[in-house]
Parts: sequence; C-alpha cells; structure tokens
Amino acid sequence: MSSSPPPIISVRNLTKEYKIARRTEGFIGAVKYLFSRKYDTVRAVDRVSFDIYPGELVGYIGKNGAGKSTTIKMLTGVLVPTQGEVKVNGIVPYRDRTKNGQNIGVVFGQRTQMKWDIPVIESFRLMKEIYQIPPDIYKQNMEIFCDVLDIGSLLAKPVRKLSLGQRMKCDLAIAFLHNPKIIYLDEPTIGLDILVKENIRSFIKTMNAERNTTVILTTHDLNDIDSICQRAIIIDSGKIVYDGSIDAIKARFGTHKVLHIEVKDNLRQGDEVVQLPAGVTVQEFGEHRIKLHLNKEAASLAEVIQTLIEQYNIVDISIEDVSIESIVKQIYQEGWHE
Amino acid sequence: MKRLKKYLILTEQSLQVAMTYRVRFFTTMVTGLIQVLALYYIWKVVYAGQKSLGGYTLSEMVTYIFISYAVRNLYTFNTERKISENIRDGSVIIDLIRPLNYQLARFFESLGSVIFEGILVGIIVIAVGFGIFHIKGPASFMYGTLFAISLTFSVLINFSLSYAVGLLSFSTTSIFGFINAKRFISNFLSGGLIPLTFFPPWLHKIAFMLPFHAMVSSPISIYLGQIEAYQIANVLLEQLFWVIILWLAGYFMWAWASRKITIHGG
Repeated sequence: MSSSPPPIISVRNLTKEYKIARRTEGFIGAVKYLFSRKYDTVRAVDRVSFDIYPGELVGYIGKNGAGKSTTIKMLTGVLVPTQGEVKVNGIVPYRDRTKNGQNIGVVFGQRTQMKWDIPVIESFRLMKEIYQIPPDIYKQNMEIFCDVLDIGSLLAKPVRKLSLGQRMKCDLAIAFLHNPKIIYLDEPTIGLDILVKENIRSFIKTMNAERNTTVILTTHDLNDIDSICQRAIIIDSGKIVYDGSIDAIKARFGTHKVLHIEVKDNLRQGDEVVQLPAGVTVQEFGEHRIKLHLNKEAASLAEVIQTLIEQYNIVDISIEDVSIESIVKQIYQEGWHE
Repeated sequence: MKRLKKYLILTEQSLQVAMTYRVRFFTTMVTGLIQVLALYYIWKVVYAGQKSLGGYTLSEMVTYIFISYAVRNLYTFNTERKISENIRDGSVIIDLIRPLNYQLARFFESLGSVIFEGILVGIIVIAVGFGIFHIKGPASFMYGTLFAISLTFSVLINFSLSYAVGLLSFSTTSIFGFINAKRFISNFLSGGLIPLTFFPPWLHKIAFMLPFHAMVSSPISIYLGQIEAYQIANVLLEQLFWVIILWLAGYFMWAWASRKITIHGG
C-alpha cells in the first residue's frame, strides 16, 4: 500500500455509553422511580477503531444489540461519542452534522425517507432541492436509477401504495441521488424477496464500481455481505471481534464442510452409536437424515464417509461449504484466534 | 435565494399532502361553518335588544366571529403533532441527517398547512361572511395592510408555541395533554372564543401579559380599526417581541432536545 489515499472514515477508540434508569419492580419501585433514579451505564460501543478507504465495500456485522446502529449513528453525526475520535471525510460528524449530511446518503431498511401521501417523484424533487443537486446530475441520475432499479413506473404512485420491495428500491435511489461519497445502508434487504435482493445488490455494486462510492452495510442477511462486500467488520458486545477480508474468513473456514446424508433406516435417538473421527460434530440426527459438520484438516472426508457406509444404508450424500452465517456464529462464540 | 429554495419545497410538499385529503378539506369547511353559525345565533340571543356589549355592536361582533374564526384556523395543530410523532417513532433521525436547520424546516413545513387553511377559511369568510352576513371589511386600506402584517406575526407566534410544545415530547410521554392544554388556553386567552374585553379585569390583565392575545386579539383589533393609528406600531412591536422571544425559546429547546438525542440516544 504505497500510495493509497487517506482513509475516508477514521475511527479511534470510539466509545458510546448509555445511561439507563434502573427501576425496581412493583408499586414501591414505581414510587421510588418517581423521586430518585439510579442509572446503570451500558457500553454499547467499546473502544472501536478502524479505517475505511474510499471505494471500500464494508459489511458491518453483529447480532441485535451488538452496537452496529450505535456506530452508524456516530458516523452519521446523530450520536455524540462518549469517548474517542471519529472523522468522516475530514469532518467530525457530530460537530458539523449538516455539512457531513451533504456528503452521505443513508438508507434505513425499517423506515422510509419518503412522504407517505404524495407521489414518489416528490421525494426525489425534495432531495434535489435540499441537497442542491445540479439539474444535469439530477436528470442523469434519474435516468440511470429508473433503468437499473426499474422504478420509472413507480414515480407517479403515492408511497403508501408501493410494495416493500418497490419502496426499498426508491429509498435506495433517493440515498444515492446527490452522489454522496459515503453510503450507509442499515438492513437494506430486510423482508425482501430474492429477486429484489439481487437487484439491490447489483445496484450497490454498480454504483461502487462506477462512482467509487464507499459503502458501509449492516445486515442480518450474510448473503448480502457475501455478494457485495470485500471486507467485514464483526462486532459483538460493542467490541470488534474481526476486521478483515471476507476471503480470509472463507479461507479460514474453507476446510469446513457440511455433510447431508439421507438413509433408508428410520433413525431414532440413541441410534447414533457411530464411531466418528475427531473433528466431526453431529448437527442433526433423526428420521432419515444426518447432518454432520467436519473440519477437513482434522478428519479425512473419505474416512468419515467410509464409516457411514459401514453403518447405514445410504440413499444420498451431499457435501456443502459452511455458510458464512455459521462462520460468523462460530466467531461470535469462540472469537477469532490467529 | 438558493438557501430559501431548499426550504420552500417543504412548504410546497406539505401543501400537497394537505390537498391529498379532499374529504378532510370539505369536512373542515363544514364544521367550521357550523361553529361560526352557532356562535352567530348565540350572540344574537345575547344581544337581544342591546345596542352594544363589551364595546362591540352586533354587526361588529359578527365581523369578530368570522375574522377570529379565520385567524384561529390558520393555526392547525399539525406542527406539534408531527414533531411529537416523529420523536416517538424515531423518524426524527431522518431530519437529523439532512442538511437542513430543524426549526426552519418545521416552520416552512407548517406554512403549507397555513396556506391550505388560509384558502379554506378565505372561501368561507368571503362567501358566507361577506356574502350572507354582510360583515365589515377592514377599517381602511392602511388598516387592511397592517392587519396582514399583524397576521404574519401571529402565524409566527403560533408556530413558535406549537414548536416548543411539540419538542416537549422529549421529556414527557403524555404529550397529548400538553397539546390539548395549549389548544384550549390559546383559544381562550387569545380572544379566539370571546373578545378579551368581556374578561373580568384581572383576567384581562393576565391575558395581556401572555403571548396568546397577540395571536388573535391583536390582528382583529387592527382589522376592526379599534386601535388608533399611532398605537398600531406598539401593537406590532409587541407582536414582534413575542415572535423573537418564542422563536429563541424554540431554538434553545431544540438545542436541549437534540442534545438529548445525540448524547443520550433519545
């Protein structure tokens, strides 16, 4: 990395603590709460540091309550950090919220930016004015977005008549309309069918490729991360547990396989007396199915299959790579040990 | 100019939202009309045979009824309701990420409903008030112009009050109590229901110490020419005083409220 540009987002020891009023149960508790409040301090984000470079596609992954949204809110300037530093495109977001707002686009999957009662096009016009988008850029973007996201026919409809997928595509187009340098996408594919998901993913990738837009994506659908991002930051209980390439995760867990075995015998609990080599765990067992998880480095695939053939009347076997979902689950549980 | 355009679109679109509901348009018109007619018949009975009450002749009172109805209805209660809804459901976050001043944005948004309601009550007052009940026009052209200025101030005063009440949602979950209280107190103490000259002296005094009278009573007394020309400047200055005080109050309340979101996470 000899002549790489400076990071567009730079975060150092970022910490956010919330005070939560503690309330004891029952009527007495309610009376006490009225007069004196004791607070518990909760650390939602705990000394988080990372740099994100222009044009990066970063997946920000974590369970509910892990601190994802809190981090995003600090990056957008909506929350003031308790400690630590944050700089986005040279601006300290919470100090200069409106200036920062001009550089960023945000999509909240659970919430629309559009006005419910009036046609979709009005929300585009609104963005044109408040971000002072030059007419030629507005026109050009509208043409591209209508084409790629196929939203041209929706523009005249009132927002309340859109389906979730249509609404999401419009919200995405709105977020990209003023050519922001950075886009924050908070659960952009939540509740959408696979076709819309694919459409949204390819749109994000196209925008990144053509305009070098930096994308920060939080999602529960790891397929989004897998297909969009090159880098993942995994956060758990406010702390970063992994920050690196998606490929490194895959390489690390690439030796892990999942075996689905279908057998003729009707399996019952207690039948699983198979002698399996170390490094193999049984994930499901019952009816006519067995699901095994194995690490090729610890156990030989051939050996495992051999053992199974000796024990059962096998109808079908399929071997899969471990899903990124279960990888992340494993990192959550065990941490990332080099 | 460019900066203003950024905000004017908010006015245009809130006007569009208001117009989406045509049924509401007509029901508001009809209920407004019923209110005015009810007041008219009540006052007719009260006046029975008397020439003047509280300094108003019956024909002046009828004018008062129509104009105060018009002025009061310029103030819909959307501002505080919308602010408190946005705070409760968390969508205030979208306003925070946009490069707009929150207070100005809400003001220009509220102008949309002011214009909408203005057209609505304008139609009623002209058609029914002037057409059927022969209410009086402004005392003179100059009084008419000053009335318009005064009305602008009262719109600003009302907005600032509503804005502050809406922001109270940050500290209380029972915001609707405050909204109703504000509505009742401002209707009553502004002279919106009955002219302030009907109040007992002590209440009259209190009413004039508070900003509410500047919302309805001040513009109407200019309209009716009850104020000498040389005193009008005082009335307008007093309104301006309240505009500045209340706008600043709203400014500081937002500073407090946004601190609450940004530091404490809402």
